[in-house]
Amino acid sequence: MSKYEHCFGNCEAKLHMYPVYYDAARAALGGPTSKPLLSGGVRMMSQEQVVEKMTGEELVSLARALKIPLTARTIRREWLIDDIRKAIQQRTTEPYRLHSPAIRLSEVEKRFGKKIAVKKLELVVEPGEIVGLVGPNGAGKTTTLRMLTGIISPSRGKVEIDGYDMATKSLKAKQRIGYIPERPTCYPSLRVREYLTFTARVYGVPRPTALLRMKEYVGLFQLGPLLNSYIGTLSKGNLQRTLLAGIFVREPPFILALDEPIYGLDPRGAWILKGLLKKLKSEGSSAIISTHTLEVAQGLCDRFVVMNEGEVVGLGTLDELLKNHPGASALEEVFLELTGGIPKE
Amino acid sequence: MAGTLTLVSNEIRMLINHLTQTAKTPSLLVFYAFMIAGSFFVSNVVAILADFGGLFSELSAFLTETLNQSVIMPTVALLSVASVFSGYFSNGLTASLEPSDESLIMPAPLRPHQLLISRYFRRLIHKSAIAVILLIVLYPLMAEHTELLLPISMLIASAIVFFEFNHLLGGVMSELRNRLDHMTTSRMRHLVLPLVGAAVYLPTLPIWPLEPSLILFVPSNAFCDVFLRFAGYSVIVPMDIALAFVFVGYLIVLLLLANLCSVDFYEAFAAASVGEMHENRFSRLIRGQVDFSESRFNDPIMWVVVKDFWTRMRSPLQFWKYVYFAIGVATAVWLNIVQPTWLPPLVIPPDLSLSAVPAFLLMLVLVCQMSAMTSLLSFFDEKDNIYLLKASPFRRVDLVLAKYVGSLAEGAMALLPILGLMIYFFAVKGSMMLATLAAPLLMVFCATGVMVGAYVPVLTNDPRNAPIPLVFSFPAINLFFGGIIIVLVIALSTQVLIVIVLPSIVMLMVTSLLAISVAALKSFK
Repeated sequence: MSKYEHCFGNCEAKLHMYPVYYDAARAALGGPTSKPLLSGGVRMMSQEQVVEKMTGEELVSLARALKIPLTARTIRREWLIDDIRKAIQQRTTEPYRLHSPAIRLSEVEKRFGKKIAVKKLELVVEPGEIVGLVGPNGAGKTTTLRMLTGIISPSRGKVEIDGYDMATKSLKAKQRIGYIPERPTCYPSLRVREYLTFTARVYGVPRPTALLRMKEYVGLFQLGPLLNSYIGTLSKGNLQRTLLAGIFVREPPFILALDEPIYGLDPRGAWILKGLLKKLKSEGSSAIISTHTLEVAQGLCDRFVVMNEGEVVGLGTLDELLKNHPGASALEEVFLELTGGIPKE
Repeated sequence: MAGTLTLVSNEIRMLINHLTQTAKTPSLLVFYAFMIAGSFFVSNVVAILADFGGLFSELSAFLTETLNQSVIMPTVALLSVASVFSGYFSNGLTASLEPSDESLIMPAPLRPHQLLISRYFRRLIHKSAIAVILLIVLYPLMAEHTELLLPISMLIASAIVFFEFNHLLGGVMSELRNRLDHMTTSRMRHLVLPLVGAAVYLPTLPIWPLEPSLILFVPSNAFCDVFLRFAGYSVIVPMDIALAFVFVGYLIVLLLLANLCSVDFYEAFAAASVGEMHENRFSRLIRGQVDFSESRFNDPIMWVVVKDFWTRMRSPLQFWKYVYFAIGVATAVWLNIVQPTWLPPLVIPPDLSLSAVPAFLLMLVLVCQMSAMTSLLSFFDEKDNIYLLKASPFRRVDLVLAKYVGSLAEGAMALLPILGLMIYFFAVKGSMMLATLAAPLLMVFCATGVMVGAYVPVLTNDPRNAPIPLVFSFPAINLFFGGIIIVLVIALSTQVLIVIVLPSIVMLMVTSLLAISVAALKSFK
């Protein structure tokens, strides 16, 4: 018995519950995968696969949302799935593509009274690009993300998201934004399912799409058992997963502003998120990730913006940064050099 | 519009969930039962003690004789003027927002007024619930005089709508200031403040002929009309029409605020949350160079009391509280000793003397309740630090005692000036003796506050947000205990036994409440 057969003989049924891990685990143990793995090992289900995984009740909800007439006294599952598949195929539309650049910050400055939190920030992020925002505490990273998401407006300069000016076309600009704050919070009196439905409604996601994507991402982030739990009772990690699922219930592409997205996630959750971000990037989404975990930034980001005291002190790919700092061998050392020097031991 | 409906339906969903959670939590149900039963009990006791039908009619006669109608309208209009000024210098309605909005709604494709309206809807639901509870609690007082039910309901409704009008007027001024700040940097922009203030105040002055249009189109005048009609004055506009026009004024200012509301609304909230993390400059100036880390106190109780004192000193209002205490006590002592002829106490007509004593007792309970509010905050103010405090090498009983001692001191400071002024201005028969009841009432109320505060981390894993029923249970439990103490005093007022019974009962109540607080610290979520 091979190592693969031995392991899967015992736990294959269990792993089938988590299709995302299924292929990753098979691949790790040398077994055959049903589909090539995407970078990060996350295999997303197609809409048809999502439909197949749905329970009878979920299928009926989806059929109703798709306006499929349910007149028969009893309906065979296979027939219903076929009808749903046909209806989904008829609804398929051309996917939206982000304008270029996805994010443009021009001469952006933010003052709080006399204090300048962000000074003349220039940044362009193209579709399909992930930019890492790194810097010490109080460098202006969170303020930058809050300006990017329209929570606060810059004192000077212009923020453009997907080609729309945040000051004049804020609704269009915000339509593509997915934001995870530094300290994740959510309405404690809502259940996880209600929160996801609420998010879909706020962003105008058609009900059939919302049902399909909820099923997909609830499975991906392992929120199934928590769907009826109140958000106020969730752990930090599960709250973070819920907020992430709330973003991805919407249709891609996304422009993500993630402030410490790995915060509170267990290694498995972090692994799923990293894989998902790589996949979204390959599909044309963009992201700015603010993090202190430089290994995460190094593994995910195409370019880096190093901020210190509100100013950009370093900008470029990892290779470019290393080239400009010959003494440094990793992002951590570049970071330390740019933000006060490497401490002596 | 769809976005607004989605947000409002989400508010309703959260409210329903909250009620469901409460119904499924025995401890919260007990608190609710205490709240309603306690209030009802006190209301019944007061209804037995006094004939409120008679009180209302006597009070009407008293008011019409002593207060000139032309003075009332400008006086009430001062409330609106205060809203104009406070709104201009404050962050408006940002207090209705919460941190979750910042991460979920503010980055979403929704307009600021949609969030404002949904949050305001929540406030309306809360206010309506309070109004209904108030009517239920007051019902025993009016049960014998059903003819008063409609006018009292209309007065309560118009008062709520008028206060909401003022609340929204403050919000309008805040948004107006933001707009003007963007449009111009000229100092002339601040002229809008006296202009709006004058627009609100001038039409209420008795220099104008009293016409229906002047009453109906100025909300404070319309509210006064409702009040004056209720109090028995002869007014030219019927009560129901005046109430309708208070409502019209409220709607106009609500729509005006929705139209003015911009992204600055978010900005103000974000700035306020950033500001919360920093110590106020004025407080730092007062606090001087005091460094609490250099505290020489080794006793845990003293350590916690001193820590709380300096932590509170970081809030700008705290300093003024001490100023208020010093000036208030000095004024009260001076008034009671000198008794100036130009500031005489209220003369209570002989017909009202029977009702005056219960009214004094009721006021005493309410004043003690207000003064004991800091005890509720004693644990609640710790927020997440409560876990650090619990993990510290202190005995639980020491922590509870420290919080109790601290809040008792704070409560006494808040109570003494008001009590002194009450004794002078509202001198009913035996008021000096009755005023001594303030001490046992405050002791019990502070113990209740500490207990309710200690239960926050037991009922929720987010000690920053106390469950609403828990907060509301605080006055309800206090009214219940206050009622017991007053009934006891009335029953034993002529017997020497009271000297032993009252302190014993009070000590028993305080000890029990503090023991429950210690038990709460054992069972954090």
